[in-house]
Amino acid sequence: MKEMCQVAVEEARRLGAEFADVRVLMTEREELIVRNDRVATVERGEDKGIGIRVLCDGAWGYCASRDLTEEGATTVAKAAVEIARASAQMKPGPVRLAPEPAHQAFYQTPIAKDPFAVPLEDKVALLLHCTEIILKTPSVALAYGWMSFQRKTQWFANSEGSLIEQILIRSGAGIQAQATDGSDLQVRSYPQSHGGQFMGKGYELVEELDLPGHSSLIAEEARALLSAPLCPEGEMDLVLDGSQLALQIHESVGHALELDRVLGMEANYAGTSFATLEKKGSFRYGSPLVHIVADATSPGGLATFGYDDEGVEAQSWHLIKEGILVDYLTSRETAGATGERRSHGCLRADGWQNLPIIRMVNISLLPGQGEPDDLINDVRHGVLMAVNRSWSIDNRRVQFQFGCEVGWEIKDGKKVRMVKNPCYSGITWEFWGSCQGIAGPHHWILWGVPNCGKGEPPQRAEMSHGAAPALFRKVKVFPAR
Amino acid sequence: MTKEHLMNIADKVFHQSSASETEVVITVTDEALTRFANNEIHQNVARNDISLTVRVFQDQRMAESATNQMDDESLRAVTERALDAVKVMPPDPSLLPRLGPQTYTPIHAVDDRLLSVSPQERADSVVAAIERCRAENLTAAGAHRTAFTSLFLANSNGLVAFYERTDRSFSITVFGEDGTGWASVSSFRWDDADPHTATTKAIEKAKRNRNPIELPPGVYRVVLEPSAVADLIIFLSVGFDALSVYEKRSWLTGRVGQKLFGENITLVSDISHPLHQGCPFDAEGYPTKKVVLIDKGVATNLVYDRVTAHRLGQEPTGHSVDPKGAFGAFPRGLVLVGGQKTLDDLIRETDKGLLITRLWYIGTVDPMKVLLTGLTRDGVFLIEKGEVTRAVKNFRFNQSVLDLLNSVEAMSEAERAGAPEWEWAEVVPAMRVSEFHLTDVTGSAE
Repeated sequence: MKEMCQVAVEEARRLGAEFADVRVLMTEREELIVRNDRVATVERGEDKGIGIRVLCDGAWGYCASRDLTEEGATTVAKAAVEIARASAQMKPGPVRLAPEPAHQAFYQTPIAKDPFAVPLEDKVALLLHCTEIILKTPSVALAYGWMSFQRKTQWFANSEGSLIEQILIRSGAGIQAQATDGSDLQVRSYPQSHGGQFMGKGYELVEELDLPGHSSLIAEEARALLSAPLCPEGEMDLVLDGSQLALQIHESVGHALELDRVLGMEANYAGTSFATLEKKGSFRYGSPLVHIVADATSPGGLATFGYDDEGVEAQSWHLIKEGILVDYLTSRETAGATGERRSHGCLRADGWQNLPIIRMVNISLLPGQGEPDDLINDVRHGVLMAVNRSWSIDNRRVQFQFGCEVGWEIKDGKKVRMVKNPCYSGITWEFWGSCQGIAGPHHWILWGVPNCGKGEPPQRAEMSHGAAPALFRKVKVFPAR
Repeated sequence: MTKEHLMNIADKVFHQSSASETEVVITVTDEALTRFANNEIHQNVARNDISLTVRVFQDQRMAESATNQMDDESLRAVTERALDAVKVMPPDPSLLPRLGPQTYTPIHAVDDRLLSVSPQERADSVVAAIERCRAENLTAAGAHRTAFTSLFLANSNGLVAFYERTDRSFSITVFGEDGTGWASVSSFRWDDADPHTATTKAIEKAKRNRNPIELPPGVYRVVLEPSAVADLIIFLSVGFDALSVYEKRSWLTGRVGQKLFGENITLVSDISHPLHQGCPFDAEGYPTKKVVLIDKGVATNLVYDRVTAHRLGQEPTGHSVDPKGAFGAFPRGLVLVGGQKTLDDLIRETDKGLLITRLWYIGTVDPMKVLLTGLTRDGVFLIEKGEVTRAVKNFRFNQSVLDLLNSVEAMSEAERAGAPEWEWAEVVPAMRVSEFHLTDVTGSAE
């Protein structure tokens, strides 16, 4: 496949491209969904193709095909050059790519147990066991069990001499109970919603999660929520569990600091960002407790790799330091456009079919100290919310509203009762500015987000966000009703 | 690839398979898209792919496997993977035999003009839009997409289903001094998705979106343009799945047959509507029927997959979302019947209210009430005494779609609207509603 990459690069250069990079990608996947007592989905698939990006007459062109022959490689190279030349008529300035050394390298996700080697019948039996337990609870109408495994083998080459092979493996699993009385529907998921936990690990992730051991608890909580009181309403303290905080980081920090958004390149669909360039180095994004780090080297992250999809080496850097905005997520083009010396390596594509665009790497809130109970002890009146149920933020990443599956009202430092339909909303910098406590490293978990959408045509990307439970003061809290 | 090519591939799989029933699904995609921002083309892409899924059925068990390689060795491997998997599946008593040959509604959704669009032609439309914006000191961002897709489904019982479609879409966001304007067009015909029309509308909105004022959150009379209506109605539609009603997870639980809305609300699932020309079969290969979901305010019918229909003694409607009927059904091709007025009429007849162009990032807060939250975007305007008078900064809303449909005062004629970037559309009108719950402000008019 390396030869295929080189054929395409050489053809693009022969046709006049100033720069070209090529990815040949093979993806293997296995998806299992158990719905109540039925195996709803068992799909094993593979997918292969080539995508070439060229810079020609100062403009970009991209073409992708499943044809992995030498003829196919030269055909996509020719088409990409033709597309770039069509773009050039409306591309006033030259593209300046921030420099990156040429790499000849190999990287592989370290795993303990190959998920594709585990017998399918064992996986199905485990999920059916979980849903059987969940369905024993009265009022539970629907039980789900999910598993998902993926292995991506990618060869990358560019016209600057890089030649990189990577094998990236990830696993995911989760369970869910839905309880209803015909007029209300309550949901509890483990370990989090949106399909469960996903990590750059092998089948050991499934074993660590102990799905059967949590099946009864989520079913009981879903049933209990049907008769629970509504979440209280007002401005009050809010304690978020790590999985909800992960989504808060994703929506109000990660997307806001994608430099293509900041520069207006995603304006028509994903939107722009309030976090404009002049704010770098001075804007108070959060309280002094808030340190947020982007890290493509985090063990177990969904966006942990050796090199991004334009051959830039994986890095770790602060986005927010002591509450101050200090940096962005960048590519070679956007780093070059803003005078940075090197890209941070955030350019990634959804498969070979799509042009790489700036995507989050793993973005995490660094842990503080102490126990989650210390945070609760510090609350006179507030709510602890856990596991995301609804999410929404405006196209400049300023005003957000989230809902969670479950809440517990806190009074005088104690959890006093379970409450349903908990929601909160706020303004990004006010919310992060109200952070007054973060639990310690023992409670910090890297949570996977396997379904982030961005770009036109739409692309899906995967990344993780590390977080420990945290306390926020004077937040607008209310029940969905 | 022609239908005959695809049938040849399916025949090879049938020949390889030892299962009692075998099914093949092939999706062909040939797509190109030109993206622009900051008044320049910054992404220009093309891709083609074929996806083949083999489903095998044996002794009340099913498994499937997929590939995008069509050579003989790949077809053999994908079939064997499915056959290996089906051996270890537990039996599924709900599984129904595969269908035999069916008759489908004739659909014409291919425009030959769209089969040969060059990158230069796609770029020319973008250049024209950018030049118009530049001339007015405005900045444009957007996307111009053309595509050909086909879907082929065949099984070893003789069923053969085939649907092919072309698409063109153009969407544009125009930045003025203080705010933005947006518009989009989409169709399976090249001539019916004219970028010039969308650009004119987006420029007008951007120029009008100046010096925006901030109004307080509250309950407002609003005029929702068709795009905003389409974004809301799609969330209503999931409740018409008969399986979710049976499982008491739908807002329609216990309410089918009741009058829930005013006489002015009629909602139909109709893939054969001239503006849809959607796929005439579902994931099980069953012919998709026209279904009246709400008739003059009465919730009349649900949509059924084969398994749920069999369980409840009903006829399937051809809306199944998966081959086993495990996840229920979804009413594709929505048509919300409109009124006789124009959007200008709706504005002119409004004493005081807000005109809302588009919504963004909508999520379900409570599915049993179809309570949604989301934001306005790219143009909110104050209407006073029948005239658009001021630009207004954006809001967050928390609004039940059920309540919304009970406060519709007037509607325009229905048109194709939706989100081209999500590649779906509905046929819906603009509507004026007496109460819309705007709960927060965002401080921006973009």
